[in-house]
Amino acid sequence: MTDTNRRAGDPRGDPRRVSFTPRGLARMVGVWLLAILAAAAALRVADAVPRVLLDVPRGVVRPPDLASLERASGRRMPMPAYFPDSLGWPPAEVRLHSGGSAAIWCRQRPAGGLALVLATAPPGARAIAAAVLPPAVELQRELASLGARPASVSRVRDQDGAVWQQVEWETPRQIILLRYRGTLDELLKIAGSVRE
Amino acid sequence: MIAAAGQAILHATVAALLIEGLLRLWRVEDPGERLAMRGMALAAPLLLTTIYLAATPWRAEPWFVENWSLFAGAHWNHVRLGGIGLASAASVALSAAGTALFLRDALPFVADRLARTAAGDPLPDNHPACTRVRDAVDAAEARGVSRPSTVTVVALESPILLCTGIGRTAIVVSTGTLDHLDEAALEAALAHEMAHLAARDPLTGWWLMAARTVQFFNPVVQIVARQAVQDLERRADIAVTERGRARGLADAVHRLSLAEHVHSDLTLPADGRHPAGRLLASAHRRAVDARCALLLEGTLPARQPFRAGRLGLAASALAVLLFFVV
Repeated sequence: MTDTNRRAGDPRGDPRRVSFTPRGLARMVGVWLLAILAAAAALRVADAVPRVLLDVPRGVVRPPDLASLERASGRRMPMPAYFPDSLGWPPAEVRLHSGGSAAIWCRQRPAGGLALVLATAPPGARAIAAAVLPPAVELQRELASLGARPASVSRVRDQDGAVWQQVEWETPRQIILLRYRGTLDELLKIAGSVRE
Repeated sequence: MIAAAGQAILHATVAALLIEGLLRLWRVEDPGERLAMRGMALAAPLLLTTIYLAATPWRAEPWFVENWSLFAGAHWNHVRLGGIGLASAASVALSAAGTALFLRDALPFVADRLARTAAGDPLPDNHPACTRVRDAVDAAEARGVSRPSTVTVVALESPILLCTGIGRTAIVVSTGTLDHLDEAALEAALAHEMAHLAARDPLTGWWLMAARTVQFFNPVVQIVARQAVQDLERRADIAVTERGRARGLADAVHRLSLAEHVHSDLTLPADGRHPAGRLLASAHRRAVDARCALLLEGTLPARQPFRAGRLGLAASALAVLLFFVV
């Protein structure tokens, strides 16, 4: 595909046609592949910018409110009937994972740090996706019961070094996880009041 | 509604950038091929976006957006501006910009059509101006350009030089145009309009305007359509250059671009590389000067083989990439 511009009136046959070569064809296809790959890479980078800026993992969307989360996930979030006065409402963060896991994050009032995370996974899911939860390291885990249901109670440490209490149990409808930055007694009180 | 408009704008942007990239990488110079590829960029947000939205609604579901998409506009809605997602805000702002660009060209287009109908009665055949135009058309025809069905000369001080018609073709010339051009420039200018008619460019012009009207909110479509018009102009310029009348055409372009109240495509840029050519007066002047320089240079673009293959590859690239842009 060489450039063979010629002057108008050039008497040598058809002045504007470039001859076909296998090398030219190979270059054409190579350029096409390169352009697609470059475009795909550029789109991926542009897509990642807001997630990097806001520190949201891939696979997670952030609906603006609880109603949007329930619309997008197609199911109602379980809510505790007992909700300590020290917690703020509405949730500070709402997350939905492509696998169906959903979570709401609540802060302490007024304008304090995170204090409660309520997360669920739909029936059939093996676990709640870690991407909807704040990063944490598990320190200890024990089996327990929550009413008549078996539950798993654990302690986790967040990125700031603070220790949280966590309880996770399964119902016929979903897996439910509650993580609370407070006492275990209060966490179990909140968990025991959860209605689906 | 905003989401669908946003997706159409996003698809048009990706399509336009990909096509411009391929045009440069493949070094496509033939304006006919450039026009065909830009036509794809115009059609993609109209056809592909509609088909994808209607036939594959599951592309909007989280599992596809998060695991398979290359780019999701919804991710930019994580960034909030006064309670509104950035992608939604950008969609509204760009739609307003697209509408403004459309009206900026559509209103003069309508005024131009009205000017043609209100141009007054044609001069009689034995009028000296008609004789002069007839001689110029004869000369252009002798150089191998097809003759239009009719040539109408109207008595009007404003320079008008336009071609129209698809089945029954016509060229409209005003006495104001004749006052500005000498014989060589007139013959070249008429040959340019006759080349438009031979290539059925008025029909293409209507298609372009239809695409712009349907996607009036899409600023990228408005810009690409302007570039496509420049490709049409360049193609007609090349037809005149091939017949050895490039100097006369450059003279006509230069003279008419300096006149006031002109109704002619000869005052447009013509190499498809000046999307802003009609937005700013200085850019427009530079683009018209570049058109004259290109004509005086007299070079003809290389026409590369395997054009259908390139068009097919470009279309398939658009179809694949846009599927993964949601």
